Amino acid sequence: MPRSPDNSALFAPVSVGRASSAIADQIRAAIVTGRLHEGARLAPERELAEQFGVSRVTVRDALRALEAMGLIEVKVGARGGAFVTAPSGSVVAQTMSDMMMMAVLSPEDIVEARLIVELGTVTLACARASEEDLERLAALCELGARELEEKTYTRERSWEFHSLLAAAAHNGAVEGLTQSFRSSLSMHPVRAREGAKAHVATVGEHRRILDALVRHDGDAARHAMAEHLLRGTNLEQRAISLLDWWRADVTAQSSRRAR
Amino acid sequence: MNGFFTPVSTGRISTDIVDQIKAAIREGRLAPGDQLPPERDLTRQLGVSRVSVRDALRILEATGLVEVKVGARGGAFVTAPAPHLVAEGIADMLRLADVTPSEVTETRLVFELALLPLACERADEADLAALEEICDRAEAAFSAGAYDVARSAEFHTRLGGCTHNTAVALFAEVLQGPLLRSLQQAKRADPAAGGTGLLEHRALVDAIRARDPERARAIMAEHVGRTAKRIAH
Repeated sequence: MPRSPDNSALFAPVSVGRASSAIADQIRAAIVTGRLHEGARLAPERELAEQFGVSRVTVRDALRALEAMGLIEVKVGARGGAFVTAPSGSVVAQTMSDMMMMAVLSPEDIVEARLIVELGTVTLACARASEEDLERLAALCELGARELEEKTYTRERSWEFHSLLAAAAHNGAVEGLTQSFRSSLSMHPVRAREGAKAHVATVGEHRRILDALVRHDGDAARHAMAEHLLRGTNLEQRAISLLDWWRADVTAQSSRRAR
Repeated sequence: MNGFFTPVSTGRISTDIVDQIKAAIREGRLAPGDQLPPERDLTRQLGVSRVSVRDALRILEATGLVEVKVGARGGAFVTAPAPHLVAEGIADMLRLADVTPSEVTETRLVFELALLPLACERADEADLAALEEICDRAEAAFSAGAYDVARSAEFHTRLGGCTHNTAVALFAEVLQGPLLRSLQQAKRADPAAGGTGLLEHRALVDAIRARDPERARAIMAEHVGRTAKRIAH
């Protein structure tokens, strides 16, 4: 459907929004199916507008949406343009956090989901963390302890531990699921009330998880992780049943087989 | 010089507008269902260009906080992000990260076994009926020689919904695409195995109905373990 700039000024918010969604969907499909690779530069707005048969404003809207989804990065300057990027997980993490803000997800939902995913993560990490993985985790724990003394410790640092742990599981899918938790724990009302005291507890709990990993002690690692995730919540009963569940270790054995 | 200089500043301004609107939501000044003022009014209230306002609305729309409706009663409405938005985002990440079928199967062993206690505790009649219905369709197709592994992926995704935990359900949704690809590979390795899988789905529904997580786990471990073996060999 041809559309002149005048029309778009008249009907702007609605019709342009829809056309731009369709364009964003097409570009997104090209990216996720590998027809457009990371680092690839999209054609300039003007050319895209011609290709899609829409106004530049509509193309711009689509690019804005793709940027918000973390699929492209718009750089300015002589070598600027819209470049395809690998989504880092921070966008989905932000959306999860928005869902908590809007009460679509409860803090309990998140803790439960984290128990399910992260007790598995530590189990896998116990079986396969490399020397390098363990060194990185140890360095992070030391950095955390130092920052705690200097009162510069942040939640982002706390998140790094979980991120490195997911990497130590050496499973891309587990890592992807874990990334989505990045922003949501800080939304937990209990954590927000705890303030700086929470950091002291967090650093100690991370250390205990790492110690268990070093000993390849899956049971101790899961207990330390459960205790960490549950601090201040009322889900102890859930954790106990999950820990019993894991103790039978059928899953861990099957997991090694699946490798 | 429009295309040369504007993106930086409008980018920052639009992010600022997004932050202001999010703050209004967080503080309860805006709630789901509320309509945002028209672009023109926002432009005036915020003292910014119309382009910045448009950009901000597109960002809010892409991240699921605003829904743009068409028609006489149209406009931009505040909404809560739908779980499928997160599911799609993670699924895109997994696709781009070239996650292998064995990684997916391993994740299922961790994830699907661990969610069974929740599913056994919380599944209601509607959940059980939905699972049964998927089993019915799959069995009918199998008898007709037209079984599609997509039915199996559908079953496993619906199982996630039985936990009544939105986050767990959306992870199950995330895994549906990768799961389907891994099942297609497993089917090529052993085309005859579909029948056994369907019997196991039925037995899983029975175990969940009986609220027996131990039995459910034994069935699921066997069920997913078999896919794992077929992929590994």
